[in-house]
Amino acid sequence: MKRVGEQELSLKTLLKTLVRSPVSLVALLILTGILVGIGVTFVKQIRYMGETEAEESIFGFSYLEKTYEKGPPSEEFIFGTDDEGISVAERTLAGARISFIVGVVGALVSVCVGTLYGLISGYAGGKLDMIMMRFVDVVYSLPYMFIVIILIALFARSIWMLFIALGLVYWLTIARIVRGQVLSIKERDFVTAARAIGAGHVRIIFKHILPNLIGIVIVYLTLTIPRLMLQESFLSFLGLNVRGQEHSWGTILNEAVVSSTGTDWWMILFPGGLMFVTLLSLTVIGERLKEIVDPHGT
Amino acid sequence: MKRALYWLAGVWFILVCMTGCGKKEDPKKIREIEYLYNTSEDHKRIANAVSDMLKENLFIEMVPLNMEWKVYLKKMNQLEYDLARSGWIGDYNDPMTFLDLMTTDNGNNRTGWSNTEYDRLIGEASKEQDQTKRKGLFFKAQEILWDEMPVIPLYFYVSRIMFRKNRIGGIYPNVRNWIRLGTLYCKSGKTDKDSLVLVLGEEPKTLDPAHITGSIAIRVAAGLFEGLTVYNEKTLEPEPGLAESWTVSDDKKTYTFTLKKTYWSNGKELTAEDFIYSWRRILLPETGAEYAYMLFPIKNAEKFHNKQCGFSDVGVHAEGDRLVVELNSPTPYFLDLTSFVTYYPVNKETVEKYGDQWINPEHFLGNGPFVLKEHAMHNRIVLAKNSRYHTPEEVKLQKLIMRIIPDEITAFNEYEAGKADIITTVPVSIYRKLKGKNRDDLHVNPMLGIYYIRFNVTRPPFDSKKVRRAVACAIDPEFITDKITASGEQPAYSFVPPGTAGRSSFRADRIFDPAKARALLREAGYRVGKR
Amino acid sequence: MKPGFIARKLLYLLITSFIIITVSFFLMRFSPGSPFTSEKALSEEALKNQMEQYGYDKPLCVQYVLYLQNIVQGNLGPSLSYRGRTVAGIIGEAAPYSFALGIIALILSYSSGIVISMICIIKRDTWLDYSLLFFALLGLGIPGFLLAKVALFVLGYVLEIVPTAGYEGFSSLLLPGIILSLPYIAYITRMGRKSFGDEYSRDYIRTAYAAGIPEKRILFTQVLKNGFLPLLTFMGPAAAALMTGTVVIEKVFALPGLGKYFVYGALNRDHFLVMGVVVLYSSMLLIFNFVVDIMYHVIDPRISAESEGGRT
Repeated sequence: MKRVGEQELSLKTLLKTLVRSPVSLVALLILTGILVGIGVTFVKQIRYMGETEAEESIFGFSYLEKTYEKGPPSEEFIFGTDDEGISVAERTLAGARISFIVGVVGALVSVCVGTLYGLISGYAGGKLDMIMMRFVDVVYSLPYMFIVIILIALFARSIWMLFIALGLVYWLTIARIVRGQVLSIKERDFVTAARAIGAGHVRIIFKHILPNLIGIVIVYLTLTIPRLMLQESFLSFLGLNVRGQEHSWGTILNEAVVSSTGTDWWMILFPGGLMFVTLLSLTVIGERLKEIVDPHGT
Repeated sequence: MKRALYWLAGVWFILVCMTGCGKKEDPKKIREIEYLYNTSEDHKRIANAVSDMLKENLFIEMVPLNMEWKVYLKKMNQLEYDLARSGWIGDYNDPMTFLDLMTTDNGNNRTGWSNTEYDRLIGEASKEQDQTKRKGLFFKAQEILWDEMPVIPLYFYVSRIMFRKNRIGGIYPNVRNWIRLGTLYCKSGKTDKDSLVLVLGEEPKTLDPAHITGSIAIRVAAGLFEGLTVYNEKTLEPEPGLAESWTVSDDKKTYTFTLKKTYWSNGKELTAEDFIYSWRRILLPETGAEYAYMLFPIKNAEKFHNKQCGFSDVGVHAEGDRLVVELNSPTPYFLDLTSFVTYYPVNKETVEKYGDQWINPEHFLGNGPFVLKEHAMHNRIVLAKNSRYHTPEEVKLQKLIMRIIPDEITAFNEYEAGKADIITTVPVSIYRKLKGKNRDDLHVNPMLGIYYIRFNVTRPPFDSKKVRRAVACAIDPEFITDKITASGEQPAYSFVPPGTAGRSSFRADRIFDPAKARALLREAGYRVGKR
Repeated sequence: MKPGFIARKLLYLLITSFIIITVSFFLMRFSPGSPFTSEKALSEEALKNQMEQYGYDKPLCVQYVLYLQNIVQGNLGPSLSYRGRTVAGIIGEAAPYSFALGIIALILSYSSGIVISMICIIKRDTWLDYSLLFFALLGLGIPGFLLAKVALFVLGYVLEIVPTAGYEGFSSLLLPGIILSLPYIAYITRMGRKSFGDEYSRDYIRTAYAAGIPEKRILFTQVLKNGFLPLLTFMGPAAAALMTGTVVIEKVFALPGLGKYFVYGALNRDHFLVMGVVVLYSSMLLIFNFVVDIMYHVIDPRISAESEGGRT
């Protein structure tokens, strides 16, 4: 990453800072572990694809074995089995894959849209900025859940809808923050200097402003992912499932909660625990990054 | 900056692969098939099981798609699906209610399947008086159905009710899942002997008999109204309700009901005219009554509904305190129909005065064992004893509180905690827990209902009989009732549940055979598997 | 406070409501599915009659204008899925429960959040500070419905200290309110910790200490008042988020609130019901934000009424 202004942000420095604090180090390790687990699920699927006659995609979950017997943790299944007899441990890992993809893509949608919006608004300034921000104010006061419900209930049940619906959650916040950043960056010396030597708008944006935004963008990316994972579970709870969401953490937890009388604790324990730990880790890392990049808060 | 773009491109690429766009179509293989079901945990599990079976046995990719009721119906009606889950609970105790479904004109067919021979057989059966001949016709019809296989029957429903026998009397679990609310009573052991709490699974969409179609609403309406006949839970025969007796003509086409002297809950007398008014209201197309067809056995009722004749041509008129009904043709289950919600009387003055609001508690008028005292939507419906009921001494309860608890687990918990006396659905997960424990308050009973899978026979590949049969051979109903639902259902080898009055002896052979399924599919010209 | 300021905000409110209503109306109408499909297929005649009855036979723009006219008079239309009921009637019955729940959660989250963050400030950097922060973060990591079900089971059925299903009086709202407020307690604690913390380390506070003013007074008058602004700003979006949160909580606790009508209405294409709920929620929120804006200006007149999108 470029050296810009006074701050030097590189992946290495970020990682170093994270590793230094014990809390974020643990968080980092947990996340790495989960990513490894997700990798394992891919391996298993590939192996299954080789064995079966049916046509499979690498993103499928057909490798999960079903015994159709629900049972508590035992020798064979360390975390027990669910309704369809799938090992809770396996299913939770499968869920990690989906939830992560959903969370990351949703966050990317949020961040891309929000950054673009905030960039335009902040850089343009004046009337356009005012109108754009008024629009944000209006939408901010709308109950988000309703828009999402309308989207999914009324239109397709495809996973793209889910990404869009989740993406809509935080783009507003990000737009505002990015705009604020752009406003302050705009006034900095090196920008004025660039303009003075006749640099065009595009060049200024790409060479000077955007690189300075990367820090805050990464921070909010990291912070948005856990929130979106939570949102996904709420949507699943309301019955707004889309294709491809069969084994997401949200779906697993909903089944655990719906089909249990409170005594199927094992179905809640591992998935819930893993989800909680993941969310916490991401939040911790995000907060830590925030302290580095934007200590005074916007 | 460039690196970021590469990352984004990579994510995009992964997404595309994930959603399966860009896969080549192989015309020699069966394409991806969609299985539609309306949102529910139980339907989902069955859908997943069927999907697994098809993948394992036929290497077909089947995608379960859940959607809410209205969208599901729309897709059904417009034949925009491949496979869909379906169910049917008999409206009356006769094979006709099931077999009629698959005739060409029946709006609930929704498969696009049409067979003139089948229609003919059913048409004849609806007029046939001789029971043996009738059964023979049903048998032949089922043979056709089973041969062509526009639907795959999976299993027959069971009802699961919970109530404590030593505390509550008057409930006799039966195949119609009918609870006669008017005769419920508390036995010793309850502090408040005069009221009971019954749990409903959802808020009824309406309580107006002309518009009721859902089983929940039917249950509530059974406490608020009474028809010519009432279904007896113990004998499974209709017995006198508002009609104290009736005579049937020799050709079995005319019924003359002699009405008891009864009153509405405001004291006004209930006459035969009330019945005529109510039935006319339902048959009027403007009313938009979904169950209008239940009245079609009455002579010219269908014609009147389609505006092909006037109401004076319809075969119903009053003669003093008697109601005379003429039918199009002999209908053995007619007395069963007269106990059904669509045949209930409603009060003309009240309906005309208050319009759609007449079934709100402040305007409500009924003739059943209870009146509607309170209706807090999605919370509770309170029924209070109707002192003007024709035999008030039979009604032992002063109050019947119907709590609306959509979540079945919560409902069960409330029951266990003693806050509910009767629950009418028990979710599969709870059933499994209670199975080994000898709970004598769990009453499981076969029901006149069938759960089946529909094919859309207008769309390839299911326009081919062979392919349909191949799919049917790949699905094992016994596995489903054994492992998936696992709550006492019986796998279905016919389209008419056992226990239906007048049922033929048709029973198909078990066809589950994965090897045969694959052979059939190959015969139909498709490549099965990778090789 | 300039009267022009209020007038402008009011105008803004009206325009926004209008936009929201229009967008929702056309969104609902253009979505696939019709409110008139039913299980037992209706005859053509019956279907036509149904549509006429509800005005669906007229051109869309005419329907739109009629609808607007009706809203102004307070008529939200009939429900297309619950026969015989008006949308206004249904909403009127259910709204109090949702709003009561929301207000309880709002009060709880703000009061607990402020108290906890104040404690964190006083005992800064001690284990108490960090553990309270951790507990606050917990509220963000666990899905609400999960916690709700578990809490309901433990506290309601096992220990029997709270009412279980349905609405049986005010006490039925307590546990739901608590669960609903948990994530917001977390947000407010964090915000408070930063905002009050920043305020606390300012020079004038140190001066106050040096002058011998008791700690309690410093905290409760200066720090609280001056640090409160960002929290006030948050109230608008918090109220919005809380309202959507009630949908889930109501479902778990079987409370007869508004949330389900919205979901149910959308799923069953009951256009009037959905519109009614949207209109209600949006107007409530806009009014709430309006009040917050005024309060904002009252508390700190330094913030000019011209602040454009200044809230973060």
